[in-house]
Amino acid sequence: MATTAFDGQFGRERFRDPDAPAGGHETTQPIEIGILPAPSPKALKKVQGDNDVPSTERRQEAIQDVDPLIRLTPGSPERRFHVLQQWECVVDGIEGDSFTADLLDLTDPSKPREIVEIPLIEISEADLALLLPGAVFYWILGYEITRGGQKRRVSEIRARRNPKWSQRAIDAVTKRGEELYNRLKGNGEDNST
Amino acid sequence: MAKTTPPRAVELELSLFGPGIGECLVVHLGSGYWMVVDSCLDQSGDKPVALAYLEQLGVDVSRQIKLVVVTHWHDDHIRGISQVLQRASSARFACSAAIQSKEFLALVCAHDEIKLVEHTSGFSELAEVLAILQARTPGPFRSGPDFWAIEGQCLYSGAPTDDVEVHALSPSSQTVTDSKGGLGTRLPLSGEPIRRFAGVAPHDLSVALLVKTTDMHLLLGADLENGRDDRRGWRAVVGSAVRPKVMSSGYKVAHHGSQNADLEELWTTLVAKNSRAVLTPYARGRKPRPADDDVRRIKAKTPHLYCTVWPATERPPGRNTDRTMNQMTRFRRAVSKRPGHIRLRVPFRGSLDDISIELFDGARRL
Repeated sequence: MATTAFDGQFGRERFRDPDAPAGGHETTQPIEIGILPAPSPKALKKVQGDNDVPSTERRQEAIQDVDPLIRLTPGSPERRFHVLQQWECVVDGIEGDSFTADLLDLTDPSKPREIVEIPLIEISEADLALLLPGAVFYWILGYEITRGGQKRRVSEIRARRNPKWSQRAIDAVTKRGEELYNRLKGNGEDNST
Repeated sequence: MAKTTPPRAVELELSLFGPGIGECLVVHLGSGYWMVVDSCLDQSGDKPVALAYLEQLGVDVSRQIKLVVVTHWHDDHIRGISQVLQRASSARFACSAAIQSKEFLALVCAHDEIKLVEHTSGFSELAEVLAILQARTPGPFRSGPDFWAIEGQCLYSGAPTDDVEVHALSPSSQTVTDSKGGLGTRLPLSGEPIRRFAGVAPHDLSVALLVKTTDMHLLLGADLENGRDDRRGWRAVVGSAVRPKVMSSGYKVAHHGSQNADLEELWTTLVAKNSRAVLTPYARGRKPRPADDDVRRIKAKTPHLYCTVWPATERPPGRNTDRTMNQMTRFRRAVSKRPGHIRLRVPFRGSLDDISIELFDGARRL
Protein backbone atom coordinates (compact mmCIF):
# COMPACT_ATOMS: atom_id res chain seq x y z
CA MET A 1 0.00 0.00 0.00
CA ALA A 2 1.29 3.40 -0.89
CA THR A 3 1.95 5.72 2.00
CA THR A 4 1.90 9.47 1.91
CA ALA A 5 2.94 12.01 4.47
CA PHE A 6 2.08 15.68 4.50
CA ASP A 7 4.46 18.43 5.42
CA GLY A 8 2.45 21.29 6.86
CA GLN A 9 5.02 23.97 6.16
CA PHE A 10 5.44 23.23 2.49
CA GLY A 11 2.03 21.66 2.02
CA ARG A 12 3.52 18.78 0.13
CA GLU A 13 3.08 15.10 0.11
CA ARG A 14 5.63 12.34 0.00
CA PHE A 15 5.06 9.07 -1.66
CA ARG A 16 6.81 5.93 -0.58
CA ASP A 17 7.25 3.42 -3.32
CA PRO A 18 5.82 0.10 -2.15
CA ASP A 19 8.43 -1.62 -4.25
CA ALA A 20 11.35 0.23 -2.73
CA PRO A 21 13.87 -1.91 -0.87
CA ALA A 22 12.90 -2.72 2.70
CA GLY A 23 14.41 -0.37 5.23
CA GLY A 24 13.99 2.75 3.08
CA HIS A 25 13.58 5.77 5.28
CA GLU A 26 11.64 8.99 5.39
CA THR A 27 13.63 12.17 5.19
CA THR A 28 12.88 15.51 6.73
CA GLN A 29 15.14 17.38 4.36
CA PRO A 30 13.06 19.90 2.41
CA ILE A 31 12.86 19.72 -1.34
CA GLU A 32 12.19 23.02 -2.99
CA ILE A 33 9.43 22.95 -5.53
CA GLY A 34 10.06 25.23 -8.46
CA ILE A 35 6.99 25.74 -10.60
CA LEU A 36 7.94 26.68 -14.12
CA PRO A 37 5.73 28.49 -16.60
CA ALA A 38 3.90 26.49 -19.24
CA PRO A 39 6.15 25.42 -22.14
CA SER A 40 6.55 28.27 -24.57
CA PRO A 41 5.16 27.96 -28.08
CA LYS A 42 8.82 27.96 -29.22
CA ALA A 43 9.58 24.95 -27.05
CA LEU A 44 6.50 23.16 -28.29
CA LYS A 45 7.43 24.05 -31.87
CA LYS A 46 10.72 22.38 -31.27
CA VAL A 47 8.86 19.14 -30.75
CA GLN A 48 6.31 19.58 -33.48
CA GLY A 49 8.03 21.64 -36.16
CA ASP A 50 11.32 21.89 -37.99
CA ASN A 51 11.14 19.15 -40.55
CA ASP A 52 14.89 19.17 -41.16
CA VAL A 53 15.59 17.44 -37.88
CA PRO A 54 14.67 13.77 -37.49
CA SER A 55 11.71 13.41 -35.17
CA THR A 56 13.41 11.12 -32.64
CA GLU A 57 16.27 13.57 -32.33
CA ARG A 58 13.84 16.45 -31.90
CA ARG A 59 11.96 14.55 -29.24
CA GLN A 60 15.11 13.71 -27.33
CA GLU A 61 16.22 17.32 -27.51
CA ALA A 62 12.84 18.48 -26.25
CA ILE A 63 12.93 16.03 -23.36
CA GLN A 64 16.27 17.41 -22.31
CA ASP A 65 14.83 20.92 -22.60
CA VAL A 66 12.21 20.27 -19.95
CA ASP A 67 13.63 21.49 -16.68
CA PRO A 68 12.77 19.52 -13.59
CA LEU A 69 9.99 21.13 -11.62
CA ILE A 70 11.44 19.89 -8.33
CA ARG A 71 14.81 21.18 -7.31
CA LEU A 72 16.95 20.66 -4.29
CA THR A 73 17.36 23.63 -2.02
CA PRO A 74 20.83 25.17 -2.25
CA GLY A 75 21.33 24.27 1.40
CA SER A 76 21.12 20.54 0.88
CA PRO A 77 23.79 19.63 -1.66
CA GLU A 78 23.97 16.11 -0.31
CA ARG A 79 20.62 15.30 -1.85
CA ARG A 80 19.74 14.92 -5.49
CA PHE A 81 16.51 14.51 -7.35
CA HIS A 82 16.16 12.57 -10.56
CA VAL A 83 12.99 13.37 -12.52
CA LEU A 84 11.32 10.46 -14.28
CA GLN A 85 8.09 12.03 -15.38
CA GLN A 86 6.47 15.45 -15.33
CA TRP A 87 2.86 16.28 -16.17
CA GLU A 88 0.86 19.44 -16.52
CA CYS A 89 -2.66 18.76 -15.19
CA VAL A 90 -5.60 20.95 -16.15
CA VAL A 91 -8.52 20.37 -13.81
CA ASP A 92 -11.63 19.37 -15.72
CA GLY A 93 -14.14 18.77 -12.92
CA ILE A 94 -14.43 18.09 -9.22
CA GLU A 95 -17.00 15.68 -7.89
CA GLY A 96 -17.28 14.07 -4.48
CA ASP A 97 -13.91 13.04 -3.13
CA SER A 98 -11.97 13.24 -6.40
CA PHE A 99 -11.29 15.34 -9.46
CA THR A 100 -10.70 14.61 -13.14
CA ALA A 101 -7.93 16.25 -15.10
CA ASP A 102 -6.29 16.37 -18.51
CA LEU A 103 -2.64 15.39 -18.25
CA LEU A 104 -0.18 16.80 -20.76
CA ASP A 105 3.15 14.99 -20.81
CA LEU A 106 5.92 17.55 -20.31
CA THR A 107 8.61 14.87 -20.40
CA ASP A 108 7.64 13.66 -23.85
CA PRO A 109 5.03 15.90 -25.50
CA SER A 110 4.66 13.45 -28.37
CA LYS A 111 2.84 11.06 -26.05
CA PRO A 112 -0.97 11.23 -26.02
CA ARG A 113 -2.68 13.25 -23.34
CA GLU A 114 -4.28 11.28 -20.53
CA ILE A 115 -7.53 11.68 -18.64
CA VAL A 116 -7.24 10.72 -14.99
CA GLU A 117 -9.29 10.72 -11.82
CA ILE A 118 -7.29 11.58 -8.71
CA PRO A 119 -8.64 11.35 -5.14
CA LEU A 120 -8.59 14.69 -3.30
CA ILE A 121 -6.63 13.07 -0.52
CA GLU A 122 -3.60 13.12 -2.82
CA ILE A 123 -3.66 16.93 -2.85
CA SER A 124 -2.03 18.89 -0.07
CA GLU A 125 -4.34 20.94 2.12
CA ALA A 126 -2.63 24.14 1.03
CA ASP A 127 -3.55 23.42 -2.59
CA LEU A 128 -7.12 22.22 -2.12
CA ALA A 129 -8.54 25.73 -2.31
CA LEU A 130 -6.87 26.15 -5.71
CA LEU A 131 -8.54 23.06 -7.10
CA LEU A 132 -11.04 24.64 -9.49
CA PRO A 133 -12.02 23.79 -13.06
CA GLY A 134 -9.38 25.27 -15.35
CA ALA A 135 -6.68 25.38 -12.65
CA VAL A 136 -3.26 24.04 -13.56
CA PHE A 137 -1.36 21.54 -11.41
CA TYR A 138 1.97 19.88 -11.89
CA TRP A 139 2.65 16.27 -11.09
CA ILE A 140 6.25 15.20 -10.82
CA LEU A 141 7.52 11.69 -10.28
CA GLY A 142 11.11 10.78 -9.69
CA TYR A 143 13.81 9.52 -7.38
CA GLU A 144 15.22 11.32 -4.40
CA ILE A 145 18.81 10.21 -3.82
CA THR A 146 20.70 10.95 -0.65
CA ARG A 147 24.49 11.28 -0.36
CA GLY A 148 24.53 7.84 1.18
CA GLY A 149 22.97 6.46 -1.97
CA GLN A 150 19.54 5.84 -0.49
CA LYS A 151 17.02 6.06 -3.30
CA ARG A 152 13.35 6.63 -2.88
CA ARG A 153 10.54 7.26 -5.30
CA VAL A 154 8.78 10.59 -4.75
CA SER A 155 5.53 11.91 -6.17
CA GLU A 156 4.55 15.56 -5.86
CA ILE A 157 1.36 17.24 -7.01
CA ARG A 158 1.44 21.00 -6.70
CA ALA A 159 -0.83 23.78 -7.92
CA ARG A 160 0.60 26.52 -10.03
CA ARG A 161 0.21 29.84 -8.22
CA ASN A 162 -1.21 32.14 -10.86
CA PRO A 163 -1.39 35.89 -10.64
CA LYS A 164 -4.76 37.27 -9.62
CA TRP A 165 -7.19 39.48 -11.47
CA SER A 166 -7.09 43.08 -10.33
CA GLN A 167 -10.10 45.35 -10.66
CA ARG A 168 -8.03 47.53 -12.95
CA ALA A 169 -7.35 44.61 -15.29
CA ILE A 170 -11.02 43.59 -15.27
CA ASP A 171 -12.07 47.16 -16.07
CA ALA A 172 -9.55 47.29 -18.92
CA VAL A 173 -10.77 43.98 -20.36
CA THR A 174 -14.40 45.11 -20.08
CA LYS A 175 -13.57 48.34 -21.88
CA ARG A 176 -11.71 46.51 -24.64
CA GLY A 177 -14.70 44.17 -25.03
CA GLU A 178 -17.03 47.13 -25.44
CA GLU A 179 -14.74 48.76 -28.00
CA LEU A 180 -14.47 45.51 -29.94
CA TYR A 181 -18.24 45.08 -29.84
CA ASN A 182 -18.79 48.55 -31.25
CA ARG A 183 -16.13 48.02 -33.91
CA LEU A 184 -17.63 44.71 -35.03
CA LYS A 185 -21.12 46.10 -34.99
CA GLY A 186 -20.09 49.01 -37.21
CA ASN A 187 -22.86 51.39 -38.04
CA GLY A 188 -25.57 48.84 -38.70
CA GLU A 189 -28.02 46.94 -36.59
CA ASP A 190 -28.98 44.10 -38.91
CA ASN A 191 -27.96 40.55 -38.22
CA SER A 192 -25.46 39.96 -40.99
CA THR A 193 -22.77 42.22 -42.26
CA MET B 1 -13.05 4.64 -53.51
CA ALA B 2 -9.68 6.24 -52.88
CA LYS B 3 -9.64 8.82 -50.12
CA THR B 4 -8.24 11.39 -52.53
CA THR B 5 -11.02 11.09 -55.10
CA PRO B 6 -13.11 14.26 -55.02
CA PRO B 7 -16.91 14.14 -55.11
CA ARG B 8 -18.80 14.77 -58.33
CA ALA B 9 -20.18 18.27 -58.92
CA VAL B 10 -23.73 17.28 -57.98
CA GLU B 11 -22.79 15.06 -55.08
CA LEU B 12 -23.29 15.96 -51.44
CA GLU B 13 -20.43 14.99 -49.12
CA LEU B 14 -20.18 15.10 -45.37
CA SER B 15 -16.75 14.24 -44.02
CA LEU B 16 -16.62 14.04 -40.25
CA PHE B 17 -13.25 14.02 -38.49
CA GLY B 18 -12.55 13.45 -34.82
CA PRO B 19 -9.83 12.12 -32.52
CA GLY B 20 -10.66 11.29 -28.87
CA ILE B 21 -11.35 14.98 -28.24
CA GLY B 22 -12.15 17.21 -31.22
CA GLU B 23 -14.54 17.60 -34.11
CA CYS B 24 -14.49 18.97 -37.64
CA LEU B 25 -16.95 18.68 -40.51
CA VAL B 26 -16.17 19.26 -44.16
CA VAL B 27 -19.18 19.50 -46.48
CA HIS B 28 -19.26 19.58 -50.27
CA LEU B 29 -21.85 22.12 -51.39
CA GLY B 30 -21.72 21.24 -55.09
CA SER B 31 -19.62 22.39 -58.05
CA GLY B 32 -16.41 22.06 -56.06
CA TYR B 33 -17.45 24.48 -53.31
CA TRP B 34 -17.02 23.56 -49.66
CA MET B 35 -18.04 24.46 -46.15
CA VAL B 36 -15.95 23.80 -43.03
CA VAL B 37 -17.76 23.52 -39.69
CA ASP B 38 -15.57 23.63 -36.57
CA SER B 39 -11.97 22.45 -36.51
CA CYS B 40 -9.57 20.02 -34.93
CA LEU B 41 -5.94 19.23 -35.66
CA ASP B 42 -4.33 16.29 -37.39
CA GLN B 43 -2.26 13.71 -35.54
CA SER B 44 0.86 15.88 -35.60
CA GLY B 45 -1.07 18.59 -33.77
CA ASP B 46 0.04 21.13 -36.36
CA LYS B 47 -2.44 21.27 -39.17
CA PRO B 48 -6.23 21.54 -39.23
CA VAL B 49 -7.68 18.28 -40.57
CA ALA B 50 -9.98 20.19 -42.91
CA LEU B 51 -7.07 21.80 -44.76
CA ALA B 52 -5.11 18.54 -44.88
CA TYR B 53 -8.07 16.67 -46.37
CA LEU B 54 -9.13 19.31 -48.88
CA GLU B 55 -5.57 19.67 -50.12
CA GLN B 56 -5.45 15.90 -50.63
CA LEU B 57 -8.53 16.24 -52.84
CA GLY B 58 -6.79 18.96 -54.85
CA VAL B 59 -9.10 21.72 -53.64
CA ASP B 60 -7.92 25.31 -53.91
CA VAL B 61 -8.90 26.27 -50.38
CA SER B 62 -8.45 29.98 -50.96
CA ARG B 63 -11.11 29.94 -53.64
CA GLN B 64 -13.29 26.90 -53.07
CA ILE B 65 -14.10 27.10 -49.35
CA LYS B 66 -17.17 29.32 -49.33
CA LEU B 67 -18.27 29.15 -45.74
CA VAL B 68 -16.56 28.60 -42.38
CA VAL B 69 -18.82 28.07 -39.38
CA VAL B 70 -17.93 27.86 -35.72
CA THR B 71 -20.83 26.25 -33.91
CA HIS B 72 -19.66 27.26 -30.43
CA TRP B 73 -16.48 28.20 -28.59
CA HIS B 74 -15.48 25.05 -26.83
CA ASP B 75 -11.90 23.85 -27.14
CA ASP B 76 -12.82 20.59 -28.83
CA HIS B 77 -14.45 22.44 -31.74
CA ILE B 78 -12.11 25.29 -32.56
CA ARG B 79 -8.50 24.17 -32.62
CA GLY B 80 -6.97 25.50 -35.83
CA ILE B 81 -10.08 27.38 -36.99
CA SER B 82 -8.08 30.59 -37.41
CA GLN B 83 -5.67 28.75 -39.74
CA VAL B 84 -8.63 27.51 -41.76
CA LEU B 85 -10.10 30.99 -42.06
CA GLN B 86 -6.74 32.53 -42.90
CA ARG B 87 -6.28 30.12 -45.82
CA ALA B 88 -9.93 30.24 -46.90
CA SER B 89 -9.59 33.82 -48.00
CA SER B 90 -12.82 33.97 -49.97
CA ALA B 91 -14.95 32.23 -47.35
CA ARG B 92 -17.67 33.92 -45.35
CA PHE B 93 -17.56 33.35 -41.63
CA ALA B 94 -20.44 32.53 -39.31
CA CYS B 95 -20.70 32.05 -35.56
CA SER B 96 -23.48 32.09 -33.03
CA ALA B 97 -25.48 35.30 -32.60
CA ALA B 98 -25.64 34.41 -28.92
CA ILE B 99 -22.04 35.46 -28.44
CA GLN B 100 -22.55 38.87 -30.03
CA SER B 101 -22.31 40.63 -26.72
CA LYS B 102 -19.97 43.02 -24.98
CA GLU B 103 -19.59 40.50 -22.16
CA PHE B 104 -18.43 37.64 -24.36
CA LEU B 105 -16.05 39.89 -26.27
CA ALA B 106 -14.64 41.07 -22.94
CA LEU B 107 -13.81 37.43 -22.21
CA VAL B 108 -12.14 37.23 -25.61
CA CYS B 109 -10.14 40.32 -24.80
CA ALA B 110 -8.98 38.63 -21.60
CA HIS B 111 -7.09 36.05 -23.64
CA ASP B 112 -3.85 38.01 -23.37
CA GLU B 113 -3.99 37.61 -19.61
CA ILE B 114 -5.08 33.97 -19.82
CA LYS B 115 -2.22 33.22 -22.20
CA LEU B 116 0.10 33.89 -19.29
CA VAL B 117 -1.19 30.81 -17.56
CA GLU B 118 -2.74 28.66 -20.31
CA HIS B 119 -1.15 28.26 -23.70
CA THR B 120 -4.10 26.58 -25.39
CA SER B 121 -6.88 29.04 -24.73
CA GLY B 122 -9.76 28.84 -27.18
CA PHE B 123 -10.15 32.56 -26.85
CA SER B 124 -6.85 33.05 -28.59
CA GLU B 125 -8.39 31.32 -31.62
CA LEU B 126 -11.38 33.65 -31.55
CA ALA B 127 -9.16 36.69 -31.14
CA GLU B 128 -7.17 35.48 -34.18
CA VAL B 129 -10.37 34.99 -36.17
CA LEU B 130 -11.57 38.50 -35.39
CA ALA B 131 -8.16 39.90 -36.33
CA ILE B 132 -8.29 38.08 -39.67
CA LEU B 133 -11.77 39.39 -40.38
CA GLN B 134 -10.77 42.95 -39.52
CA ALA B 135 -7.71 42.72 -41.73
CA ARG B 136 -9.95 41.74 -44.63
CA THR B 137 -11.97 44.90 -44.33
CA PRO B 138 -9.63 47.75 -43.49
CA GLY B 139 -11.15 51.10 -42.73
CA PRO B 140 -13.88 52.39 -40.49
CA PHE B 141 -16.60 50.02 -41.61
CA ARG B 142 -17.86 46.93 -39.90
CA SER B 143 -15.54 43.97 -40.11
CA GLY B 144 -16.94 41.28 -37.87
CA PRO B 145 -18.32 37.87 -38.78
CA ASP B 146 -20.33 37.79 -42.00
CA PHE B 147 -23.12 36.09 -40.10
CA TRP B 148 -24.12 36.13 -36.48
CA ALA B 149 -26.08 32.97 -36.99
CA ILE B 150 -29.58 32.61 -35.58
CA GLU B 151 -32.54 30.32 -36.27
CA GLY B 152 -34.09 30.75 -39.70
CA GLN B 153 -31.07 32.42 -41.29
CA CYS B 154 -29.79 31.24 -44.67
CA LEU B 155 -25.98 31.19 -44.60
CA TYR B 156 -25.32 29.92 -48.10
CA SER B 157 -27.19 29.63 -51.33
CA GLY B 158 -25.49 27.90 -54.26
CA ALA B 159 -25.99 28.40 -57.95
CA PRO B 160 -29.57 27.75 -59.10
CA THR B 161 -28.37 24.64 -60.90
CA ASP B 162 -26.96 23.22 -57.68
CA ASP B 163 -29.99 23.92 -55.51
CA VAL B 164 -27.97 23.86 -52.30
CA GLU B 165 -28.67 25.94 -49.22
CA VAL B 166 -27.27 26.04 -45.72
CA HIS B 167 -29.65 27.17 -42.98
CA ALA B 168 -28.98 27.93 -39.33
CA LEU B 169 -31.50 26.14 -37.11
CA SER B 170 -30.23 27.58 -33.84
CA PRO B 171 -29.63 29.41 -31.54
CA SER B 172 -33.20 30.45 -30.95
CA SER B 173 -34.12 34.08 -30.41
CA GLN B 174 -34.80 33.31 -26.76
CA THR B 175 -31.34 31.79 -26.34
CA VAL B 176 -29.77 34.90 -27.81
CA THR B 177 -31.77 37.01 -25.38
CA ASP B 178 -30.73 34.78 -22.46
CA SER B 179 -27.07 34.98 -23.37
CA LYS B 180 -26.89 38.78 -23.27
CA GLY B 181 -27.05 38.84 -19.50
CA GLY B 182 -25.75 35.40 -18.70
CA LEU B 183 -22.30 35.69 -20.20
CA GLY B 184 -21.57 38.74 -18.10
CA THR B 185 -21.59 36.60 -14.98
CA ARG B 186 -18.62 34.66 -16.36
CA LEU B 187 -16.33 37.66 -16.14
CA PRO B 188 -13.65 37.18 -13.48
CA LEU B 189 -13.88 38.88 -10.12
CA SER B 190 -11.17 40.95 -8.56
CA GLY B 191 -8.81 38.75 -6.55
CA GLU B 192 -9.69 35.58 -8.46
CA PRO B 193 -6.66 33.73 -9.81
CA ILE B 194 -6.22 34.04 -13.56
CA ARG B 195 -7.12 30.74 -15.11
CA ARG B 196 -8.64 29.21 -18.16
CA PHE B 197 -12.35 29.98 -18.48
CA ALA B 198 -13.95 26.57 -18.21
CA GLY B 199 -17.19 26.00 -20.10
CA VAL B 200 -17.90 29.65 -20.81
CA ALA B 201 -20.45 29.26 -23.57
CA PRO B 202 -23.31 26.85 -22.90
CA HIS B 203 -24.15 24.30 -25.55
CA ASP B 204 -27.53 25.92 -26.15
CA LEU B 205 -25.65 28.70 -27.93
CA SER B 206 -24.54 26.20 -30.59
CA VAL B 207 -25.32 26.67 -34.25
CA ALA B 208 -27.11 23.59 -35.62
CA LEU B 209 -27.23 23.56 -39.40
CA LEU B 210 -29.36 22.13 -42.17
CA VAL B 211 -27.71 21.48 -45.55
CA LYS B 212 -30.56 21.29 -48.03
CA THR B 213 -30.20 20.02 -51.58
CA THR B 214 -32.68 18.87 -54.19
CA ASP B 215 -33.64 15.62 -52.48
CA MET B 216 -31.01 14.76 -49.88
CA HIS B 217 -30.39 16.81 -46.77
CA LEU B 218 -28.00 16.82 -43.83
CA LEU B 219 -28.72 17.78 -40.23
CA LEU B 220 -25.56 18.90 -38.44
CA GLY B 221 -26.39 18.91 -34.76
CA ALA B 222 -23.33 20.71 -33.29
CA ASP B 223 -23.47 20.34 -29.47
CA LEU B 224 -27.02 21.64 -29.22
CA GLU B 225 -28.87 20.30 -26.20
CA ASN B 226 -32.60 19.69 -25.78
CA GLY B 227 -33.36 22.99 -24.03
CA ARG B 228 -35.49 23.44 -20.96
CA ASP B 229 -38.60 24.60 -22.82
CA ASP B 230 -40.03 25.10 -26.32
CA ARG B 231 -38.13 28.33 -26.84
CA ARG B 232 -34.67 26.85 -26.43
CA GLY B 233 -32.43 24.11 -27.81
CA TRP B 234 -33.79 21.23 -29.92
CA ARG B 235 -37.26 21.86 -28.60
CA ALA B 236 -37.19 25.26 -30.29
CA VAL B 237 -35.81 23.77 -33.52
CA VAL B 238 -38.52 21.11 -33.67
CA GLY B 239 -41.25 23.69 -33.12
CA SER B 240 -39.71 26.38 -35.33
CA ALA B 241 -41.98 28.04 -37.87
CA VAL B 242 -39.09 29.33 -39.95
CA ARG B 243 -36.96 26.24 -40.58
CA PRO B 244 -37.25 24.40 -43.92
CA LYS B 245 -39.58 21.46 -43.39
CA VAL B 246 -37.45 18.62 -44.70
CA MET B 247 -36.29 15.29 -43.31
CA SER B 248 -32.53 14.72 -43.36
CA SER B 249 -30.94 11.51 -44.56
CA GLY B 250 -27.66 12.16 -42.79
CA TYR B 251 -27.39 13.35 -39.19
CA LYS B 252 -24.26 14.48 -37.35
CA VAL B 253 -25.39 13.46 -33.91
CA ALA B 254 -25.49 16.34 -31.45
CA HIS B 255 -23.13 16.60 -28.48
CA HIS B 256 -21.29 13.32 -29.01
CA GLY B 257 -24.42 11.24 -28.49
CA SER B 258 -25.32 12.61 -25.06
CA GLN B 259 -28.79 11.92 -23.79
CA ASN B 260 -29.33 15.61 -23.01
CA ALA B 261 -29.04 16.35 -26.74
CA ASP B 262 -31.34 13.62 -27.99
CA LEU B 263 -34.94 14.66 -28.20
CA GLU B 264 -37.46 12.03 -29.28
CA GLU B 265 -39.18 14.46 -31.68
CA LEU B 266 -35.87 15.14 -33.42
CA TRP B 267 -36.04 11.64 -34.91
CA THR B 268 -39.63 12.06 -36.05
CA THR B 269 -39.63 15.61 -37.42
CA LEU B 270 -36.07 16.32 -38.58
CA VAL B 271 -34.41 13.02 -39.43
CA ALA B 272 -35.66 10.45 -41.94
CA LYS B 273 -36.17 6.84 -40.94
CA ASN B 274 -33.06 4.72 -41.50
CA SER B 275 -30.92 7.82 -41.89
CA ARG B 276 -27.14 7.59 -41.49
CA ALA B 277 -26.00 8.91 -38.13
CA VAL B 278 -22.39 9.91 -37.56
CA LEU B 279 -20.68 11.21 -34.45
CA THR B 280 -17.40 12.02 -32.76
CA PRO B 281 -16.55 10.86 -29.25
CA TYR B 282 -15.58 13.02 -26.29
CA ALA B 283 -13.01 11.39 -24.08
CA ARG B 284 -12.95 13.84 -21.16
CA GLY B 285 -14.59 13.30 -17.80
CA ARG B 286 -15.43 10.22 -15.79
CA LYS B 287 -17.63 8.78 -18.49
CA PRO B 288 -16.53 9.31 -22.10
CA ARG B 289 -19.28 9.96 -24.62
CA PRO B 290 -20.97 8.23 -26.23
CA ALA B 291 -21.43 5.75 -23.41
CA ASP B 292 -22.73 2.27 -24.16
CA ASP B 293 -26.27 3.28 -23.24
CA ASP B 294 -26.03 6.27 -25.61
CA VAL B 295 -25.05 3.93 -28.43
CA ARG B 296 -27.94 1.60 -27.64
CA ARG B 297 -30.39 4.51 -27.52
CA ILE B 298 -29.28 5.96 -30.86
CA LYS B 299 -29.20 2.57 -32.54
CA ALA B 300 -32.80 2.08 -31.53
CA LYS B 301 -33.53 5.06 -33.81
CA THR B 302 -31.31 4.06 -36.70
CA PRO B 303 -29.17 0.98 -37.17
CA HIS B 304 -26.72 3.00 -39.26
CA LEU B 305 -24.49 4.61 -36.62
CA TYR B 306 -20.81 5.44 -37.19
CA CYS B 307 -18.14 6.89 -34.92
CA THR B 308 -14.85 8.50 -35.94
CA VAL B 309 -12.91 6.74 -33.15
CA TRP B 310 -14.16 3.92 -30.99
CA PRO B 311 -13.37 3.61 -28.22
CA ALA B 312 -12.21 7.19 -27.75
CA THR B 313 -9.55 6.23 -25.25
CA GLU B 314 -6.85 3.62 -25.15
CA ARG B 315 -4.48 2.09 -22.69
CA PRO B 316 -1.79 4.62 -21.78
CA PRO B 317 1.64 3.98 -23.29
CA GLY B 318 4.02 2.18 -20.97
CA ARG B 319 6.17 4.33 -18.69
CA ASN B 320 8.53 3.44 -15.93
CA THR B 321 6.30 5.41 -13.55
CA ASP B 322 3.15 3.44 -14.35
CA ARG B 323 2.98 1.58 -11.07
CA THR B 324 3.09 4.78 -9.03
CA MET B 325 0.61 6.54 -11.28
CA ASN B 326 -1.83 3.66 -11.18
CA GLN B 327 -1.75 3.67 -7.40
CA MET B 328 -2.50 7.38 -7.19
CA THR B 329 -5.33 7.46 -9.71
CA ARG B 330 -8.74 5.84 -9.87
CA PHE B 331 -8.53 5.59 -13.63
CA ARG B 332 -6.14 6.56 -16.40
CA ARG B 333 -7.04 6.74 -20.07
CA ALA B 334 -4.95 7.91 -22.99
CA VAL B 335 -6.86 10.01 -25.52
CA SER B 336 -6.67 8.87 -29.10
CA LYS B 337 -4.68 11.48 -31.06
CA ARG B 338 -5.44 10.18 -34.50
CA PRO B 339 -8.56 11.71 -36.06
CA GLY B 340 -10.82 9.08 -37.59
CA HIS B 341 -12.71 10.02 -40.73
CA ILE B 342 -16.25 9.10 -41.82
CA ARG B 343 -17.21 10.08 -45.37
CA LEU B 344 -20.82 10.13 -46.51
CA ARG B 345 -21.58 10.81 -50.15
CA VAL B 346 -24.88 10.89 -52.01
CA PRO B 347 -26.12 12.56 -55.21
CA PHE B 348 -28.29 15.65 -54.68
CA ARG B 349 -31.06 13.85 -56.53
CA GLY B 350 -30.66 10.57 -54.72
CA SER B 351 -32.31 8.37 -52.15
CA LEU B 352 -31.27 6.64 -48.94
CA ASP B 353 -30.16 3.65 -51.02
CA ASP B 354 -27.68 5.83 -52.90
CA ILE B 355 -25.77 6.87 -49.77
CA SER B 356 -22.23 5.57 -49.56
CA ILE B 357 -20.32 5.51 -46.30
CA GLU B 358 -16.53 5.15 -46.25
CA LEU B 359 -14.50 4.77 -43.08
CA PHE B 360 -10.87 5.84 -42.77
CA ASP B 361 -8.19 6.05 -40.07
CA GLY B 362 -9.93 3.99 -37.43
CA ALA B 363 -13.52 5.15 -37.90
CA ARG B 364 -16.01 2.35 -37.45
CA ARG B 365 -19.62 1.34 -37.48
CA LEU B 366 -21.13 0.87 -34.02
